[in-house]
Amino acid sequence: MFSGKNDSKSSHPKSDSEKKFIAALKKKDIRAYERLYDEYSNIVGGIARSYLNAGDVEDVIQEVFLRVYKSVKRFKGDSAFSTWLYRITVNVCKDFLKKYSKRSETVVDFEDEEVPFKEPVSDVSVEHKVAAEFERESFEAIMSKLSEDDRLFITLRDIEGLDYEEISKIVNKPLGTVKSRIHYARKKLRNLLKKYGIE
Amino acid sequence: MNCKEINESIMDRYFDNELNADEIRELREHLSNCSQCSSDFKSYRKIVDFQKTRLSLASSSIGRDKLVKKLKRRKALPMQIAIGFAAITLSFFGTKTYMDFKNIDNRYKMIVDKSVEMMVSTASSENPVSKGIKSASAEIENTTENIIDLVNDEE
Repeated sequence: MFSGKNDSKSSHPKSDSEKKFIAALKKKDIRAYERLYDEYSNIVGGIARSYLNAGDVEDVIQEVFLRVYKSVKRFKGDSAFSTWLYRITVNVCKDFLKKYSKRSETVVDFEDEEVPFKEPVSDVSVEHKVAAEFERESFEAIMSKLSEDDRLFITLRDIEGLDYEEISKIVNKPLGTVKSRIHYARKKLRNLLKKYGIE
Repeated sequence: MNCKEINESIMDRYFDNELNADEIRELREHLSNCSQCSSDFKSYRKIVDFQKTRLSLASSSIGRDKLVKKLKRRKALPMQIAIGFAAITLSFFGTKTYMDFKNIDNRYKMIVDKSVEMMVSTASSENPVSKGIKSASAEIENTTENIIDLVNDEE
């Protein structure tokens, strides 16, 4: 009902049903949190998956909603609820990244990894599957070459379709900076696509 | 509209839905004649679509149930803390009250013991008071015996 995209565009003033929903969250109504999970776990998971580009996505989702539970009382409604939620998501992702670096664990690094070579197969349907798999692996390799921030910017803007203003609130950076960061992230991605020969 | 313009700004504005109708027409014309720009557009669209599919996984009921369990535990936590605190407080005061009663009991016992001790020591010492007490008790003892003898004789 309050999907991220719609919510971001009609955040002020909030609808009655959204106000009731937020009030229920503040009252720690478990059903409201079930609804929160159903409506937002996709986008929260999407941000986590793109930002971390690794596992732990469900852990991030759980942590995000637990933080909402702990701090929703402090939500004053100055921004859209979705903006506030995505900001928490980005912070949780950053915390997870710090945890990775502390554990000296590296997220799968494709830096010097070549795009895998697939043997030609005669069967047409198998050929399609192999081609699709090849493309999937190439795309994953390309996405992993972007920095976490670049992946996040592309995800928020091009995948989730959030507007620049909301993104600037989520990442807590000026609007101009966000615009230029997205411009350069897109450019980097296009250059990588060229480099990998993706047409 | 040339390749550089497209790469520097037009493509961004296209993906941000900021191009007007004339610009879109011009862009289409360019793309139909420029294989490199056309390929850039297609590949960017492809990877965005790929990411959309990859990232839009359906929410799992397992994850939701896990969250609900955690939240219920958290919700019950203040009550558990209160019960624990009440139990600790009760056991503390219960123990204290028991110890107080025990102390009072001990104190009474001590007073009685001391009194008996004092009486015994007073009776056994050689000072005038104890002598007086001794002779008085001996006299009472004799008188009592005489009375008993008289009663026996009369019978």
